[in-house]
Amino acid sequence: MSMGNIGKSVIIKGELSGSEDLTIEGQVEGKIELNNNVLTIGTNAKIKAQVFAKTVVVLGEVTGNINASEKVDIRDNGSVDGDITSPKVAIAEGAHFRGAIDMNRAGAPKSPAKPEATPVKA
Amino acid sequence: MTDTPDRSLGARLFGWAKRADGHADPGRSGPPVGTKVLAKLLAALTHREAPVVADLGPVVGSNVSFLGEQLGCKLRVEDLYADIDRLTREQALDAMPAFLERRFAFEPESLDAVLCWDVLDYLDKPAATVLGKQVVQWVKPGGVVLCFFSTVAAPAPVYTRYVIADTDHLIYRTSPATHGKRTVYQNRDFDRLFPGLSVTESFLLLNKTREVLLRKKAAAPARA
Repeated sequence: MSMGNIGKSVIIKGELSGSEDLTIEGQVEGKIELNNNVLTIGTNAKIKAQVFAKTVVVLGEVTGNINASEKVDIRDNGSVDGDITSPKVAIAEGAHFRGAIDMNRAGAPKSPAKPEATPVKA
Repeated sequence: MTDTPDRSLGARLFGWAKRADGHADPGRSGPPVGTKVLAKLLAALTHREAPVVADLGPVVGSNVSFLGEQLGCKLRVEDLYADIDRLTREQALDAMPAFLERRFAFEPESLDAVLCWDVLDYLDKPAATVLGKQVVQWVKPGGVVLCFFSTVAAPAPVYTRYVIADTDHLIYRTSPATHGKRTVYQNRDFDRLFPGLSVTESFLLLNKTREVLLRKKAAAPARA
């Protein structure tokens, strides 16, 4: 699979979307959409954006909400100020996070189901 | 260093040893320590659909994963220990009650559970009272609040991250703090701190920590 790279001298203001994995080392303000791909926020990156991706790996700074269909991974020294919505969230020791984490119930143990009512014979 | 009874007990129960100057040695993890109250909290939330939980401690990645898998919850992380550190450095601890009044943005009755851990031990009573009253407002009827209280003075300048090992065990991971625990609460203080909540579980552990679970009375069912 092809992979893009945004260098640390690049500043993008607006909407960024694509269909390949992407590593950002620069600055992005606005919105990032990589719905079926992996987005890596590099150690030099400063993101002020709403982020949508399959998987988001954070090594730099993100201010804004992150929505990942698969996983959010905040590595050591990574920083997120914003809300995360994802079924899996990994936060390393030394990472900074402030906000809310919303994990859907997929994979959670189900509470015992109520037995179905049996029809009463008249 | 000789393995004195004091050292081995501290290492065993708190997960850290004492330095030669008598202060706790921060930055250590100890072996898993039993917890009675966590399982009770999880049981109280299991049947709630997508419960909303506020964590007043620092973010712990494995706790996020654990609570997500167990409860499918929405977790709000509000690291109050970092605020205590900042106000201490700014020599503005007197302003803590006023700070707490405007610190949080939770709606009334919006939370199913609040994890206070031992944060109240690090506050003076006026600040703790302000926080306690807010916690009572945030919790939904039937919601629960988890608190740890030290039953002895603990002036060592360390915080403890409570890392969930499993339903019945926590790992106490210490880190440096700007000051130690400031207040030792008595059992009678719990009701004063949280007016409107009642203590449903209270366990005194061997490490001199009292684990407490408080619950807000569930709403009365509507009459037909």
